[in-house]
Amino acid sequence: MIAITVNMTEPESDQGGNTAAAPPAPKPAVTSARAEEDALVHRAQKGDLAAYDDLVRRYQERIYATLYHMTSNHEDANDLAQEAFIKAYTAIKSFKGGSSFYTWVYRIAVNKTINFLKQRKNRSAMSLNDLDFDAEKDPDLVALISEKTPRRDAVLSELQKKLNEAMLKLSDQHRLVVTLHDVQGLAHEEIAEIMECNVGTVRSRLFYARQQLQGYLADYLK
Amino acid sequence: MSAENQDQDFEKLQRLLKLKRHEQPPPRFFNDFSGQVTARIKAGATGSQSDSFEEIVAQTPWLLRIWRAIEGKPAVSGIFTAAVCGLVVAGVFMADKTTSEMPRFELEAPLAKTEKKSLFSSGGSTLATVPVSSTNPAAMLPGSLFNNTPMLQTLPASGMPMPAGAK
Repeated sequence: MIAITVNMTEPESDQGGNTAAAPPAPKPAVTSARAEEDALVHRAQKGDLAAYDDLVRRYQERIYATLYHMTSNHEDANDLAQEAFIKAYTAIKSFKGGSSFYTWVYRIAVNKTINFLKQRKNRSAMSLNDLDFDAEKDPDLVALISEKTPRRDAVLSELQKKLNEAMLKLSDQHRLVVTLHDVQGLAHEEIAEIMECNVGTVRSRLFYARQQLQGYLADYLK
Repeated sequence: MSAENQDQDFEKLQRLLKLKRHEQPPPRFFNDFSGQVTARIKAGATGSQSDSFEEIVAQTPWLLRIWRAIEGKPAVSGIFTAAVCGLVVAGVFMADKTTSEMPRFELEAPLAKTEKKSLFSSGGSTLATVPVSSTNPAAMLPGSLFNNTPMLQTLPASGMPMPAGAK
């Protein structure tokens, strides 16, 4: 199995549901990575498909993971991620560099997914990915299963199903915030940029979404 | 529920949400992913028409706002479509009305009548029998408007007619 390598620092939650942004990486590395990305984008804008392939490989896992957590369906996430990257390529000439390419692609993918979810509203078939072997060793999860769940013999896959069902009960916007922040570890500011809203809106949506989830999963959180 | 309990639950919830990070796509899924994307781009499977429309929408902020407002909302998009159709129908109706009220210059202009008469009433039979060619232009046909045009004659600078055989 290949792990989804979301290379982001896990946010530390404070008591109000706010989280501190991930500690910034050393500046020179960020600058060089950004410069490299800019060069790839510039080449892709001139029609260099190999450069675009590099860009896709950089972000495919994060984009796919977001779309998967939004849809709870592997096939849909795959299709949407591919379509998002194709759409981004066709529109890449209009990318002016106001934000990072990553944020821009994310926005395209997220908008595409939200539109897709609006259309499929009444048929939410889950097609869940398998859990990796590390899940069984995760101390947080082990504790939740062995001590807190109503049925102690509950297996992780059952918990996974319940969690996904609860996530699907959230509105698209609230699920997106939880996915980007609590699952993928993006900072509020990044989420605000992707969702084209202000940070306060992100915080309030996150708080509301957590409250909702807490209600849906109350049995597993006692 | 007290704030303290709520915070604790959020902490537990976040621990539970960690489970989502362990969900993984099938093995080697990402090995082919970028290849599939570039292959689809090369094959032009992008649905060029719809994408170019989407590109236009993306580049026009006000259009983008309207599109986002109506997309995925059947009621709003229905109302919007009905309004656009109404405008089109009203436009067509108004255009028809305006056209019928305007005078028809082409049919009623005296020059047009004269031309018709001269070409078809007097010279109609000739037109049918004498073929028009580069050596026999329509301007020279009997009954033509151009029949009254005096023929130009070439005269020497002196004004006298040229002697026969002189060149």
